[in-house]
Amino acid sequence: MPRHRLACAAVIVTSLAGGCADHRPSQATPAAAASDDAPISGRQVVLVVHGMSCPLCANNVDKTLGAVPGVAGVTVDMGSGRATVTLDGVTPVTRGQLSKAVDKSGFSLKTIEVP
Amino acid sequence: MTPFSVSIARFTGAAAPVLLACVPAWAQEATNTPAATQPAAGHLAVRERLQYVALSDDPSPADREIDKFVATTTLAYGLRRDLSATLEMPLAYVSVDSPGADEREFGINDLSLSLKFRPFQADLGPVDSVRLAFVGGVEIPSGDGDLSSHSWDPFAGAVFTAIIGRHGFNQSLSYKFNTGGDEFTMRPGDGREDALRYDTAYLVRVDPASYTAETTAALYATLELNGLYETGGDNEALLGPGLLYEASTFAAEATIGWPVIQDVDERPETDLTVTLGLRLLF
Repeated sequence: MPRHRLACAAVIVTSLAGGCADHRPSQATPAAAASDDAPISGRQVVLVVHGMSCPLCANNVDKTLGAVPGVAGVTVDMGSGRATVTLDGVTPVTRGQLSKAVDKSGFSLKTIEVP
Repeated sequence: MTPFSVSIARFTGAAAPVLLACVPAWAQEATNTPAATQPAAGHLAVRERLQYVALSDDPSPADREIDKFVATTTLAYGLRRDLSATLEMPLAYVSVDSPGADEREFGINDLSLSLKFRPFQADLGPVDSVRLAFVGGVEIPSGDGDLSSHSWDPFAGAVFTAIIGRHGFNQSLSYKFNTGGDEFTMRPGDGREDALRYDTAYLVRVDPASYTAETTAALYATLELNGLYETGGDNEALLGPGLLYEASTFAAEATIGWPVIQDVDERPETDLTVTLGLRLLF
């Protein structure tokens, strides 16, 4: 019996160790690094987000961005990974706030474009 | 009648009253196989699963034939981007037929509390993602009578998920240290021996073939292999197809499983499982 336990534990430990080797969470995206605290001047921002593989994932991003003060609406195109954020023009919104919201939703922000 | 058709008949005969008695996000996750996905930080996902399990060929002196309905409510809360907490609350109705006496039992099974930590995530494209998560938790002896193992049983494991285009693959391994349990238990994996669960799932997006700006829902076909190896030597794996419909705030799923590997001596064998599920994202 103990041999069975050890064998099973070894399988799990090996798979965990192999999975962790040389990998780090992809949190430091270029867009995140470029974020700043200056308010965005336009009324629309396009965020390119990677990893939204299903409608529930897109809704995660939609809800988290929609909760940022100053965001009036969000539409997500899952095919291109583009999340178009409409600002209310009253409350200032920064790139940093949008970047943080995407990070919180669990996906990877690649770029922030202000048309 | 084949054992399979007997099981179907048992299911349809017993399902109606239980379905009426039950109330009802895990993105791109097959019904019975975990995935390395979790709710966003601060978000709550609720999942309700109703599973029918037919068990027979009981090695115990009671020679039981068991029909079991388990309604499992799962709450998952995103603590951080890469960390979530999950509480599973199963409610069971069990019908046991044996030559000596028939029994019916209704009550709570053991609760399960766990944490899922995702240290690796590579989002390779708008849709494509590869992730690895570790899961650890404990089953709490909160159940009633025969529905509980009456022991605190810790478990730990890992889940790997790869989603490339229309195709998704999940592989999960989880080892449970059973600190108590009954002889000839009617709950697979809940006996006196430790249990290793090995689950594999393949999902293919049937519709739409490609996502567009108008996409708000998707339909997946799934194929799962759900195995359980117990350190006493018992080994059982169920194979089954399923369907998963995912919209932006909910998902509905249905799957069936029947044994393809069955080397079981210390508990009744599983003849069939049928699972229906609903997931809600708040």
